Amino acid sequence: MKPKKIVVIDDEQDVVTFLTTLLEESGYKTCWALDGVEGLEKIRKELPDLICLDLLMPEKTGILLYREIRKDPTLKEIPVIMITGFSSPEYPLIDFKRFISTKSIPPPEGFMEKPIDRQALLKAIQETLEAREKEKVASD
Amino acid sequence: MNQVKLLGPQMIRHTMGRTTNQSGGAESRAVAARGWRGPIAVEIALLAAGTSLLWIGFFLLGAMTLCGVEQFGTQSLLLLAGSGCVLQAVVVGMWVHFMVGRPLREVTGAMAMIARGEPAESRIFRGTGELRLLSESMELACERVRERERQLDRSRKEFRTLFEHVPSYIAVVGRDFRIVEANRNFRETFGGAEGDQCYHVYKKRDRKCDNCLAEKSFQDGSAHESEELGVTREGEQIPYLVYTAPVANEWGEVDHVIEMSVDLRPLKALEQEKLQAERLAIVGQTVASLAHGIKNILTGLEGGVYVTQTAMSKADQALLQKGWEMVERNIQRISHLVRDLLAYSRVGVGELIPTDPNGLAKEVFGLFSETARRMGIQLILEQDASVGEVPMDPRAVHTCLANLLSNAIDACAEDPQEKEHRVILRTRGGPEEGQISLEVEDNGMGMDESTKQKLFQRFFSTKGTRGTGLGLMLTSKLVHEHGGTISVDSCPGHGSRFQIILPRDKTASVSA
Repeated sequence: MKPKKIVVIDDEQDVVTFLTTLLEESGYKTCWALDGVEGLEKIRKELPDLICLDLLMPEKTGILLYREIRKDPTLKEIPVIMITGFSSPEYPLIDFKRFISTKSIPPPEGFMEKPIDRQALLKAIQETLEAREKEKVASD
Repeated sequence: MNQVKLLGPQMIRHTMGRTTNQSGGAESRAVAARGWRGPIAVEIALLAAGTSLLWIGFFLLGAMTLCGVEQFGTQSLLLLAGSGCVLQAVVVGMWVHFMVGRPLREVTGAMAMIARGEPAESRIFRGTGELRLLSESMELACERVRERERQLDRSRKEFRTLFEHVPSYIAVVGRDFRIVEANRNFRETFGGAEGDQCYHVYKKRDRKCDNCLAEKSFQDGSAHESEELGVTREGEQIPYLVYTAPVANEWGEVDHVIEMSVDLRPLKALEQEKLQAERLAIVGQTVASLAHGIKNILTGLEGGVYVTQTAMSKADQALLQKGWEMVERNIQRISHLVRDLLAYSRVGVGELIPTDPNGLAKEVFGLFSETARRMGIQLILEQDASVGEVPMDPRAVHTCLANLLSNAIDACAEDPQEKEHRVILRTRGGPEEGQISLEVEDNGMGMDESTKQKLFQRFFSTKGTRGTGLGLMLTSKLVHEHGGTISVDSCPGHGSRFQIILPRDKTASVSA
């Protein structure tokens, strides 16, 4: 079976190295970008099976990039897992979900909080990919 | 305005007094007019009797001469007429003595008493006639003078009470800057006494202040104000706001200056409390941002450990190197974050002590020279020896210069252009008198307008994962707490120049 392809976009090189190593060790094929602009180029070029996207980045934030992906007909079906360190009791992740999604844009498939729980991330990725597979089979 | 209000009740009393006196004067004139009739009638009767005797004598003498009668004898008639003349002369003499001579002496005596400043008798002259009127008018005038003296005395007492008890420091100085008079508050706070030089009492200096407000008032005859730092009699530093106002003599020459000062310590304490509250508020607001930064570091650290473990299990040397670098890098980030946070959460600028900025610049220069040399960046120290000592917290300014120099070196290191990079640390006089300028200039990557605007905001960093976003914010805070300003000129691709301007006297803040 062909390995699933995942694009990791984060402005921190260390996070990118960590996630790509983790994903590759788990059998995924990866490519990465350090900002939103480069990230969109990589997504368009690679058409990955899943995107791991940092929420706060310079230039183009993860939120803007996510909305562009969802508006693009060729990319909108790609599942996205948002990763952020920006959460607190005052700003729980649930609020980010509401903030990112709009009437026409559904929320991302998954949210992960930094520091990243490796098992939880791998589980979320696996479940998301399986769900997308089922949807594809159903639609076919 | 205050003076008018202060004198208002007094003016009212004064007006009331005058009204009373005026009505009293009319009464006195009426009494004088009534008293006129009695003595004058007696005098007229006596004068008429004398005149009658004189004329009767002359008439009988004439009649007997015409009729040739010499029964009574000419000598008797002449004696009669002569008696009439003597009687008249006595009456006139007595009248002149009692009605003119004596009152004039009394009036003259009373005038002399008034001239000597002694209280005149309540009634100068008890006689009648014009002199009585004159006497009563003078008595009224004396009473008026006495009333004015009482008002003046009351005003003096009110003024003295105000002068002594007003919650300000008041001193009157002469042209030689010696204190002519000082109020109680002044004496109790600053010590010293009349006759001491104001600069010695206020600031415990041996020579006149460089920017003497009293001198300005003497020169231009105008009021001036300034914030100054004095020393109390116990040796405590005291910030105060001083106003100087010229006092002219009767020829219009300014021969004294009043110095009125207000203690700014309560205000400064409030400012300090406000600053503390703002600092706490900022800390509170930034906890979420901090958490974000710490989570990123933790992710990097955990990632580094994971990558290292993976590399070890696979015996992948290249991956091991990468993982270990991640661990090191994130430990360094934690270290920087903790250092900057500690620096930021400190109370702020400490005691300002006279410090040589050149010595400080040389110290910071020495700290970075080796780093710059290793990175191939030329570090230049340009010093203006005439800058002299400036009151500052050397620890705080050291932090500021170190932050700017570190940033400048990074800006050169990250510049993609291949050129000879240099960083200049410069000290020189400020753009205005009473200021100094500390500058850090580089020819590194420079910044665009948007970056410049966000530069001093908290947690803003152009260094990505390496920066904490606290360094420039801390620098800006420390500079402002010195009463100074910080500014930046920058152009993408050409470099940046950061300039700190500090006042030589902290009380005279540098206007932005």
